[in-house]
Amino acid sequence: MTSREPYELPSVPSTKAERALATVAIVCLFVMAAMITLNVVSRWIGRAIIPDDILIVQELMVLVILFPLGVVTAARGHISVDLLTEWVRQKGRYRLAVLEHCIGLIMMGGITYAAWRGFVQAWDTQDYYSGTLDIPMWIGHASFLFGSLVFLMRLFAMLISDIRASR
Amino acid sequence: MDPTLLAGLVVAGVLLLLALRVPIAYALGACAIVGLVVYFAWRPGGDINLAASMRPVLRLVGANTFSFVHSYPLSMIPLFIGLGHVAYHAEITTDLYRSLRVLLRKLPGGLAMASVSGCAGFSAITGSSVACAAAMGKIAVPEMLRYGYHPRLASGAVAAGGTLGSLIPPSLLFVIYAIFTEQSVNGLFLAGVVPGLLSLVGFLLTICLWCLIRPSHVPKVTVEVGEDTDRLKALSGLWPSALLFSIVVGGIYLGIFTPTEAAAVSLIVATLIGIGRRKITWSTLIASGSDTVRQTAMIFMVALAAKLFTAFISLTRITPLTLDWLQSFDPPFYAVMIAIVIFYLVIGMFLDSIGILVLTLPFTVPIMLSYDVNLIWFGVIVIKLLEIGLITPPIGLNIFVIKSVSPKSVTLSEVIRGSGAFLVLDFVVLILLLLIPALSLWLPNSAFG
Repeated sequence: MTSREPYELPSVPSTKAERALATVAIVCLFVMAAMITLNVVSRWIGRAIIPDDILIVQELMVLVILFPLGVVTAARGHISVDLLTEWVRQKGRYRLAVLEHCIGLIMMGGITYAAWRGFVQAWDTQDYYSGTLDIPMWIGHASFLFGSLVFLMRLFAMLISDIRASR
Repeated sequence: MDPTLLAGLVVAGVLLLLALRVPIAYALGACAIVGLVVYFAWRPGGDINLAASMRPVLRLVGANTFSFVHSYPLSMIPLFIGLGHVAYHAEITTDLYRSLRVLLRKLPGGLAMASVSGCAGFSAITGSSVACAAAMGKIAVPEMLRYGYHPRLASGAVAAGGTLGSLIPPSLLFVIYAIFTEQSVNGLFLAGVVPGLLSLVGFLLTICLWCLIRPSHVPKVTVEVGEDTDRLKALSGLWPSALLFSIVVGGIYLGIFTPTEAAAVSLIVATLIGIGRRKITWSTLIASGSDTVRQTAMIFMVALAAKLFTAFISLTRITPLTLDWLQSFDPPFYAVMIAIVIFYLVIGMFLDSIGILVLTLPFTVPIMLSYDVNLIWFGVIVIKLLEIGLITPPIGLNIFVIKSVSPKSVTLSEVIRGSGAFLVLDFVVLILLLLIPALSLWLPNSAFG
């Protein structure tokens, strides 16, 4: 995969907002673990004490996965194969990075637009997951859309900065 | 446009973008979305109608991405990754290595054996080969060099030992395989136990043989003056790892936990152990969490894009067509299996494990199903092949990881040559797993019938 120290591109500093979102994801991770554990233990004693734990974990999963994407992208942390481009020098690497962001934007553009449609539909119908808490469906869709938008903006910012650096 | 031609173009596009260093997630996701748009907009024999394609494409993309992320069973992935990071910061893994070092010191190449066994134990907690190689490499390679082990043996042992994370549960690759083949994670975890232990035995045997063939590579002195060699104390250092392993494997085998519950409970237990030992503080907890969510985001982006890619591939019906073509030759099963093994070995030299899994499963699984192959057994074989790929040059990821965490005196060629020695018995284990499916299937069958 990688051994690219010689021409490694530097990471871009992430914004305060992106770091805050990553912290939210960390909190959600431990809340998820604590909630599932609490329900396993309480189930042994009598009955599960947290209602709709599966639904809550599903909602938290969206935040755990989508919210750190800005920080990961700024750190150029996505998994890539560096076999044929190891010899490429700094400037060439920036050009490849520009291509990378364009491709990323195509993917995230499609996903974000689909996420917007999903959110609008969930908001219009006001559907909810049936359970004790009757969690509205739009909440999960809204966080998915928000996470996708942040990722999309980060990709755009990376594109601009790498285009400048590649000149 | 002819769907088969479109599928071929999209696959070629993915490979081209991967070669241009575009991240796997972007290459798969963007090509799949473009492929879906063309598929719906340009039906065979018709004109291009972009507007007509938007609704089905957006519905497909929306359904495949949101439902994939909005998932309870998949929460086991961040939880298991978190367990690995917390266990590392709580020094549970370091204690495991220290204890094994004392317990195995009298065996030939005892420190190397302790390193490989430590990797097995570490894998049983973290589920990630690369994390295992990185963490153990930092501790074990300098330690072995200090005692006078040859750099080739020191680095090769940890690079090879690190691969055990792919087979010994909880393995992240098994979870990803389970997602894409709709197999039981419980079954796959249990199926990995015996092959994982068998691989461990193979590595230990390699060290024994190494000591016999090249005694100069192994030091005579195994204990330093003043070093604590109390075996009872060493045994007591094993309990946290043993407890976590029991929660994961024992809990799943006895039906006490689902894999997701086992992941959550073991993460909380590891955190409590770390807090109890004053190793986990607020800052280390945040550091563990930060590493976890970043790794989770990276893995899920690849898996999510692969989900779109799989949806596109199944729409184009290229897989059934390939199957028909293959069946026209009526090849015997062993020939197909040999071809698949060679294919994974070759591709394993160039691509990383997650990328290989998500790229190839849409093609190889239907072939296996056409031969009524048990997909749990096939999963073990694929993961074993990916494990071998981790220490096969030029892209054996563990080789580079070990090189990056080792002292400068360890050259890349030493790591490659060292790992290469461990490949011999790894192939023997692979052949055993291929010839005797019961080695993989016995444990899940005994647990779930």
